[in-house]
Amino acid sequence: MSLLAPGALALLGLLPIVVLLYFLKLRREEVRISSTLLWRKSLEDLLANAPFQRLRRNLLLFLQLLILAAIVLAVARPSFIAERRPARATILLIDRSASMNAREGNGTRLERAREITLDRIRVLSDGDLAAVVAFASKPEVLASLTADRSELARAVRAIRPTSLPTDLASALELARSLAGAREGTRITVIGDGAYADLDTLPFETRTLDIEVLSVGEATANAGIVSIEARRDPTGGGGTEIYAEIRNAGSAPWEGLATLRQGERLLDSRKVEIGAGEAGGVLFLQPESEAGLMEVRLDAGGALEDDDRAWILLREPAPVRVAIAGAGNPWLETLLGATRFVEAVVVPPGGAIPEPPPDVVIFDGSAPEGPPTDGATIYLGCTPSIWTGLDRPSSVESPVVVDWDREGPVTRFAAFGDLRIEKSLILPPAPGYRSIIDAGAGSIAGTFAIRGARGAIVGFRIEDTNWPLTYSFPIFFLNALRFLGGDPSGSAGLSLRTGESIRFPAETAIIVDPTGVEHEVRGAGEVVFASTERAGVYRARPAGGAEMPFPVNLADVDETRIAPAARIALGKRSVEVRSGVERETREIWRWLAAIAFAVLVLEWYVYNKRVSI
Amino acid sequence: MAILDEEFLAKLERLRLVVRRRAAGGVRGERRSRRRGLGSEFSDYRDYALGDDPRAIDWNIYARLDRLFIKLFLEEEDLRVHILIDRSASMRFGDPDKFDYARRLAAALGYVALLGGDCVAIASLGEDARELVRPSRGRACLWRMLDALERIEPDGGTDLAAGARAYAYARPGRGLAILISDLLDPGGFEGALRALLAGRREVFLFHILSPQEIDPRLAGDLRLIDAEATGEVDVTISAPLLARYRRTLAGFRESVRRFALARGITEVFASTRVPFDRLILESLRRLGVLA
Repeated sequence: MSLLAPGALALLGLLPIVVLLYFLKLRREEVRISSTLLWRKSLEDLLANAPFQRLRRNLLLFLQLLILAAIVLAVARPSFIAERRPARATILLIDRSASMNAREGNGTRLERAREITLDRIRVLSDGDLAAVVAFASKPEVLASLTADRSELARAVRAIRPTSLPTDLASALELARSLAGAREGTRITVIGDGAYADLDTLPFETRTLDIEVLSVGEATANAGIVSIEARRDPTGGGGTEIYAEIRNAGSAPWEGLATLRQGERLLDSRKVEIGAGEAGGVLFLQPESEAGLMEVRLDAGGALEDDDRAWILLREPAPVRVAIAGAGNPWLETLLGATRFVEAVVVPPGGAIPEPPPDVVIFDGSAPEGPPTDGATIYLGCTPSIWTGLDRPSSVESPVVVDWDREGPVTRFAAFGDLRIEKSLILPPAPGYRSIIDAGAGSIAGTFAIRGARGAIVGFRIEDTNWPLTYSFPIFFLNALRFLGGDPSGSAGLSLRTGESIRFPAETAIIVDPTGVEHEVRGAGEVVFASTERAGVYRARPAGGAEMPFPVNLADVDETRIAPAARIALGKRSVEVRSGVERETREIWRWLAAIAFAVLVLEWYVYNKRVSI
Repeated sequence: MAILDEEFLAKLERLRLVVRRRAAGGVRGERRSRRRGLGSEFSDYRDYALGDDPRAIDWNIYARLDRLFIKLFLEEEDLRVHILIDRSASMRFGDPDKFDYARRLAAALGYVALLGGDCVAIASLGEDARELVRPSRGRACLWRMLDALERIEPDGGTDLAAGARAYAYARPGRGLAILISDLLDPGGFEGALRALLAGRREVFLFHILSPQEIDPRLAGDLRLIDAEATGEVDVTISAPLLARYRRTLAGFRESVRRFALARGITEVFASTRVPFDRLILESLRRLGVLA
């Protein structure tokens, strides 16, 4: 027999007090009266019951003592163990991933989990061991197996929330290694139960005693699961910011997504997403807009970490262009005057400079063979893309009859006033697409063959009036923007929680979203890996300007906060039990206390009777 | 404490005991007796017989009829007043104290009787009878009476019947018996009254109780100890118990009243709460005990 709350036995001190009260009450005050004659007559029938009266009184005392003793023992929470068993070990795995920041009632899931864990620690029997492991994307042992309950409680209280994704598998593996060969070790996962099935685990789970307690109840949540920015793929010069939003709830979600720069509202979109589905919101910003952009959802559900996402828009890098040819004053003048272009002229026979420019323009003559990798523009010459097909032929004074009005290279340009003295007719070929047609055939087009892409213009500039028309600068700027841009199209920087912030510096101070400053030292490159909370980290390199680094949760699994009923762990399935049972356990103590108070009252009333 | 002060004694001088029966003592006194004899009030004539007092011969009739008649007068005899005080320990109780009240009452009644020329005897009744004042008359014995009353102290148990019988044997003859008692006798009050009634005495019963007995102010768990050491009673005072006590007391008083009524006993119930002078000067006059 052991008592879980032996301190309550101190209440047994009330037993003698009850007895004392009894005797105090029973020590009758002696009163002298003239004669007991009339009193005896009055009491005649009562006295007939005197033995019963005495018995009743004593019985009452015994009952009261019995009830008090029972209450005290109950409060002391006795437990009975049939046979001696070795001390048990429990490994408490506490989830502190982003989904544990979901609000449940007055607090977060993590706060609830902490309370449940503390309760578990409180009821450990003497000699029982426990370990505390907090886990998110990585498990961390906060207290290794110990019987010291205060140390365990300290470890639990030290658990801080994160915005990291969950990796239950690695946490279980760590717990298994902590348990080692100890028999009867129980692994208790205290989390929100929003775990994906772990069908393949690198270890056997059937021999493990695993218990999963869930503190999660809320299910409705919508969140941003990815954010990206890219140049307008059509070459329009803007920047697209795209946020993917997932509605993890079981009811359709409708909300407002806003694009902000700081607190400046730039744009907003109404979003409707069906239950369990994903949707997106696209904001288009002019290219000149750079800096930190934020997409924010209102009414995003129980989890706030995924309601905001940030992305840092970068200035587009200049397009480096090499003009290979005898010299083309119109083209050089045009490119020299263009802000986002850095042009160099390579004379005939000269080597293409290193690193390779973004776009090479071959003016009049091109090297033999297929197009070189990268982006190229051929003027009055062609690469070998017509192998085995009709080769380009020459034509005099072709008349432009049509052009691609929507294409990235020719849009906004009109070629009706273009006069051409002579040109090549470019026949169809795989990967080739005509953009300007003359009566005799295509005189300009774009191609994309394996790693090479570019534009071919069948005539030389000096054989035309092109520089005198509006289409000349428009065509080249379109072409260079289309060809010289980042092939991936990404124009923004955003990290996910847990990813490292890296930048070249010797030392830097990094301020995390909660305002805490971290000093980081590096050899040439600063690496800051503690991106545990979603938000904007601000790096202040020594002697440099402050740089913002957006870190987003952007994790579908964390946005899905609804607890599962069961989760598969390897070859077994574990029931997810609700861990929020603490309240009901506490109530009976109050009831017992009330019962005791009523008993005392009854005792008082019984003895006091009616005072005259 | 002086039992009676001078002022009160002066008030008593105007009072007289009222008796209904022409009961008389053995000595000629100031009260009319049914015995014809040497009184001052003419009653009848009868033939002279040898031995009659020649002073009673009506010489006028002898002159007219030549026969000797003697005048018969209603003999005026004194009233023998027996004042019996219950001296059991239960009398020493209450506020005001029952015994003090009783002996003042005895003194007052005795004084009134003495003033009326009656013969007064005072005795105390406990488990036996103790004569405090032998039958005496005249104002002169007033101080003796008061002194004797002042000196007695209640003690011991109650057996009114035994005491009354003993006294009745010792002082036979008619007269007025005044019993002052709380009647709280485990053996019952009836025996005492019967003993006093025997011998054709007129009986006045003064039933004295204290306010504490009439309306007890008790609460809680108590052990009630009898003043006469006849036992203890453990009670838990409750409103129902107090109501039951009051019913018992009312029943007791009613039984006394019925007993007295049935036997021609003048019964006076008095709470010691009633001021003593008011009892004497108002209540007893109203009841016709004093005139």
